Amino acid sequence: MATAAKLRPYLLSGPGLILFATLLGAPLLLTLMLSFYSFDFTAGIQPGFTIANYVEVLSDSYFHLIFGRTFGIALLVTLFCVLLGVPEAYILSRMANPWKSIFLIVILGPLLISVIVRTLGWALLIGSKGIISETLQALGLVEGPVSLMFTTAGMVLALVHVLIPFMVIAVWASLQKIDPQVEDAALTLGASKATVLRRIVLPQIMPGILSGSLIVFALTASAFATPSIIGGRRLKVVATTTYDEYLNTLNWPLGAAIAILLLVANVIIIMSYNRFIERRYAKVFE
Amino acid sequence: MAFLTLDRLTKRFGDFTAVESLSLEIARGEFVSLLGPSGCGKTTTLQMIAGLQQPSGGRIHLDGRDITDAKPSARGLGIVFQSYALFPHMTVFDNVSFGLEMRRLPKAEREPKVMRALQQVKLDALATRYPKELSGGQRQRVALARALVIEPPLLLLDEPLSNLDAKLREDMQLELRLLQQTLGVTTILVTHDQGEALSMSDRVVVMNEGRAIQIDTPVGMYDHPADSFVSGFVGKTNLLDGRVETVAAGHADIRVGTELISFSASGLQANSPVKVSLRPEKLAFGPPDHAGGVPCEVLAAVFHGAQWLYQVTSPMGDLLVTEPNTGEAPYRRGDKVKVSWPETAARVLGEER
Repeated sequence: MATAAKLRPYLLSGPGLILFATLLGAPLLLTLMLSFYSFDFTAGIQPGFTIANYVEVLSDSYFHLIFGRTFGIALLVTLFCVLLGVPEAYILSRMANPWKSIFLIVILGPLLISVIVRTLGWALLIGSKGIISETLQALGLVEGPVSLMFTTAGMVLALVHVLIPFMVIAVWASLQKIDPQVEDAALTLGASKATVLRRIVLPQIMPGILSGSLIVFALTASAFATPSIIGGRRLKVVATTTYDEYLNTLNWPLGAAIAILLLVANVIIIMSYNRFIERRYAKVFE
Repeated sequence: MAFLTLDRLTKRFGDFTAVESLSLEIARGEFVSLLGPSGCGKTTTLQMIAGLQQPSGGRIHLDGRDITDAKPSARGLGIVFQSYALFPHMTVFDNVSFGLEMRRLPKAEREPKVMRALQQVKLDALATRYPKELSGGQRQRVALARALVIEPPLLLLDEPLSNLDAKLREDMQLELRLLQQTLGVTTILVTHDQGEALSMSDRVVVMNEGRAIQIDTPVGMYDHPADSFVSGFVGKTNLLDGRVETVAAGHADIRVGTELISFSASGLQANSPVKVSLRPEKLAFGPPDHAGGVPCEVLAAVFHGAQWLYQVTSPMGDLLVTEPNTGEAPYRRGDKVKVSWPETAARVLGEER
């Protein structure tokens, strides 16, 4: 009986564990192994153990540029998501029904559409033959076509649109937890409405902003669809570089090494950030 | 000259009238309770005084100044909310200090004031804690200190004790009353707990459906309820249906059930229906062969520690009787007794207005 009771948690979580082990764990392990293989343009992939791939990525300024660009874009996208998403969530939470529900659907609606379709939509808008470019030319405001395609600005624009719902949801959740009487209390103690926002509301939704930033940052750093459509080969990020190593150069071991390095960098950033949040807010919030 | 005057204060939400033409004058240093069931408009009244609700009609004067249209931040009142509404991201000290900061008081002057306020509520040792690290009673004290530190002309308490357990609530009632008297701050308490209102206030305003039914001292309220609503809401009572039989000068005989009871009352009309209120603690038991009183039979006895609560059947209907616990053997179910009361203890009430 005692052994059966001991086994029960493992048996219950078994199916889930097996699913994760086969569909996530095994490919990751294979990728890790692959990253230590060597590659030769004539002989192809050679099993073995070499850290040459890692040395190549870590020492080549070309890869430094790509990693730097990826995390730079991730930071920019996160910043814009905070600047736009936080006021958006606050205004949304203050709306009366039915407008609240309508605008919540408007904000979350993009999540229902494939990211490819949305990004192609942006390409139609911001391309050199896109609506914005044509309109500006027709109005005589610019000479010649303008395009945000293959630029950092275009990529940030499209990524912010794709990822802002995650920020709004995270901030929205922490706004829901605020006791409205707390704002009344601050008002009656002599605070102006702006002071209430700055001193009372903002600090209380800080955990929501921080966790929203974490989601947006991690998703941007590993985004593939949007960078590959807007940035293409001209403006590569880590995810599109990995893709090219696998499918164009056919240098799988190098692609695997890049993928593993992105994963490690992401995990380190997320974990240290999380530690920071927990330490900062453990005393204040449950 | 009243310190706070509510002049025909009215609040409507669409078709619903939450507060209907409430007029009230409160003297400086007075402790007044707004007492009533939920939805009677007492909290709405408090919010209008605080400036968190805009009145639909009527004026509010504080110390000779019309504050009806003033912003809540400009009124400078101290408010303790039902949920305490502490700032969860600030320490106890910062919570209390917030109101002084908003008054642009230099830091050096803030600190002694905050510490004095915390000492008043015996929390000076916990100044660096966060609200989440405090018990319910301690949070309540922080909220009180935060409201008092700004030295408000008026302290508003919105059901401040309703989230505390019974024992703590009684302690806090005493403590709050003492503190209020020491500081002499004019206070309005909103509560649905009649015991709280009676034990703490100088005057009680009983409200129902947006109206003030009766404004009186606790003793006056208890002994001379204006109508059967007040009588039923303030304290326990036996409310009996009767009919006036004969009327003489300052005296009336009223038939309740099969009993004819004499009352000292005036202004009654013969043959009119009335309600008779008999407080359980003013009824006394006597032996069955006792000369006066109404013959009764004990139905149930409930022990309340300091007293026994009996339910008895009488020719007037079922009655509740409380007797002090003197240590003698209590009456049991089926015991025959006589119940009597001093003639002045019985009240004749008008119908509920």
